[in-house]
Amino acid sequence: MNMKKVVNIENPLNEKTDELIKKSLRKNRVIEIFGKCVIEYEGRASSHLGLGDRLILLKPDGTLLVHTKNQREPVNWQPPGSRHYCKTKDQKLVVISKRKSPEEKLVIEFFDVFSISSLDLVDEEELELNRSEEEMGDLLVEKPWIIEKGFSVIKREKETELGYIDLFGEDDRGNKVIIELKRKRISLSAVSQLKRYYDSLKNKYTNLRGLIVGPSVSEKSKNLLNEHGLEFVKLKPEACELGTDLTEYIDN
Amino acid sequence: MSFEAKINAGSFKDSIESISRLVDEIKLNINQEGISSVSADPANVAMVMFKLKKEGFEEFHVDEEMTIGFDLNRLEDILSVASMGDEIEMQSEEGNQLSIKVSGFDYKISLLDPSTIQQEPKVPDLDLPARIVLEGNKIRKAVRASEKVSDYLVFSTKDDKFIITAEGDNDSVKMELDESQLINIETSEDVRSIFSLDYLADMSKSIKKASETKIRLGTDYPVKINFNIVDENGEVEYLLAPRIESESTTSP
Repeated sequence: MNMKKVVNIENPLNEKTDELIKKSLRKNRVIEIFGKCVIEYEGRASSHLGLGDRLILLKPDGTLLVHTKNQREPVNWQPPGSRHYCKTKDQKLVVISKRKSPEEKLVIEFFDVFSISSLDLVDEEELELNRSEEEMGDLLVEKPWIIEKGFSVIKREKETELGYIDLFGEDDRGNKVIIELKRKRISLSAVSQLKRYYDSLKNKYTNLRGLIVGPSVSEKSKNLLNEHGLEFVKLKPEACELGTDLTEYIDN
Repeated sequence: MSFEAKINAGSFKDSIESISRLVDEIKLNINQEGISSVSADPANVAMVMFKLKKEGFEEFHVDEEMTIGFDLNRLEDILSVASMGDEIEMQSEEGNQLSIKVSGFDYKISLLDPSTIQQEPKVPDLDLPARIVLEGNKIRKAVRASEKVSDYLVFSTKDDKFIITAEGDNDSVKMELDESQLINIETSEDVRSIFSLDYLADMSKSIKKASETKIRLGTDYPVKINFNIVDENGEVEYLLAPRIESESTTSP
């Protein structure tokens, strides 16, 4: 089900807000919350902002901005790479943003949410990338043997502390496999991203494997993958647009 | 179970390359007649059937039929040290290791366990109405011209002409070949199918070396492209699934 470009709820119920935020984070949307809240910050220093009306902006890359009625600068913020969470506590909506190095935590406790909007900001270039990666996922769900013989997909968009992993599956020996899909040549940062996901899950699953799928990989990226014990599978995004394959022409 | 052969490096390179255009690993069948393999790319969109008769070798000896698994990338790395005129000596005892002597180097490579490689695909039995024979180089030129304009091309016949067209958002290109420009053409009806350039671009690098290529074509059916290598001793057949035009091209 595709969400509308603008989803806005006035005076939403907590469960609705919670649900909308979680869904929006999964779908890389921008979230805007207008509410009366208290803000606690712990990090290099600590600060407390008392009850007041604030406009909160949450971006899919981890950026968080807290604006008040005046001034250009946000009164609190978190940079890209931070992680957003939300939960309900004592019937209040709580939005948390965390980051490591340095360790920082921002906790926003809403006493009242006046309106929440989930917005689909689209960049043409980004759209192409996302759609392509989605198509790659579609193809792998339909033909998991492209990864390797005996591979099966367990879940798409597996939620983890760090964000969403494109594919989660199992090999024919029962080892769990996490997979990142890339439309473009695998870069060093893509390998690092996979490594972060892998590190966050390797204690949870024995013999966990990490795999990155893309059209090609540079020598440096391949070396980094090997160093980390991670794997590469070649798949061109163009292969996903084809629509037919030769098995359809076999008479059974 | 043993296998021993000597072959001209250029011939062997051409053979391996014709297959590695599509796949990274193959099961090579070796018997008294020669060597052969059938493989499909991971997405099952393209297939390559390869045969090289023992006459294509300087020396060829196998005591019983065997199947060995090759990592084609590794094989190509080794062959890259050879010059066209060099001779390659290959030997395998049990099928788990291959020794290759080329250009003064002595390699020993581990072969892949054939059971870990994709099953040989079923080859569709197709009776395609149009048969066109032309110089392989013309295919390569048409593919290269089409690549500048689009990511797919159309092969069609009209009366006794073979037509290749590609249409992009802004530009289009067309190549019309009549009997004087073809070696032969036989069609019982006008046909038309669309193919992804991604695969054709790779295939055409091997096709271009053939003085004669036979194309069998239908409407919205896979295309069969046959040509000889290693003089007349080797035969390569590519099969490529068509793209089907759909009415809507964008997702909601």
